[in-house]
Amino acid sequence: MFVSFFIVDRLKLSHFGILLSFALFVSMALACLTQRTASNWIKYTLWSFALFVVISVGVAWLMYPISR
Amino acid sequence: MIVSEVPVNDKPLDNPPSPSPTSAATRKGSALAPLAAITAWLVPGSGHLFLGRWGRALGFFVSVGGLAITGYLLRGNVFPPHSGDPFGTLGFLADAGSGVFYYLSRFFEAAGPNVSRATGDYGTRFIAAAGVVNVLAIFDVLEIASGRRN
Repeated sequence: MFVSFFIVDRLKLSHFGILLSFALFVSMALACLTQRTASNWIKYTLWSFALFVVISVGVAWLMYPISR
Repeated sequence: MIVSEVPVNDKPLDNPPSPSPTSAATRKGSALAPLAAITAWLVPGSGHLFLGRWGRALGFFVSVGGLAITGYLLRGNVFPPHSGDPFGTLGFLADAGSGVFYYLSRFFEAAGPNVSRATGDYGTRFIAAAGVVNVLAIFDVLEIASGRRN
């Protein structure tokens, strides 16, 4: 059940899994571009990742009424 | 949250040589900038590795490679060089930015794209994002090689 929330089958991610993977990879790249120390790199990656997920879920909820 | 402050005893992401605007190393770096940029385009992260920034090299390789391969596994659309319309050309330029990963699409996406599903459409964005991220990495390499960044 828990795994199926993230991975539908071996090669197909669920929508939320796709969101998490995109947020992770892009956050890593942005941290590499802007941060120069290891601890700041980790902090920036986690902060950017969290913002990606929270804002995406928030925007999804805002769009929910117009999807009906 | 402030993340731009650098503590005095913080460990650097990688251990770059300290640049000096007038040093011979900087002049040599400027001369090597085009070579480093081409290397960075061919294999994501290799430009930073070429300049001794192994931490950022690993980060860019994982992020660009992760985006591109996930996009291929989601069966995103890979734009060919001669698509015939401006949007297709822009898509090709974005995709080709990922260097060697663009050519690996034939290996990872042997069955071709499937954008009839939403996941395939997301995959198209992953592949384009991989190329754009690598282009940003190339600019970072040029800045480092010219001595404007550390």
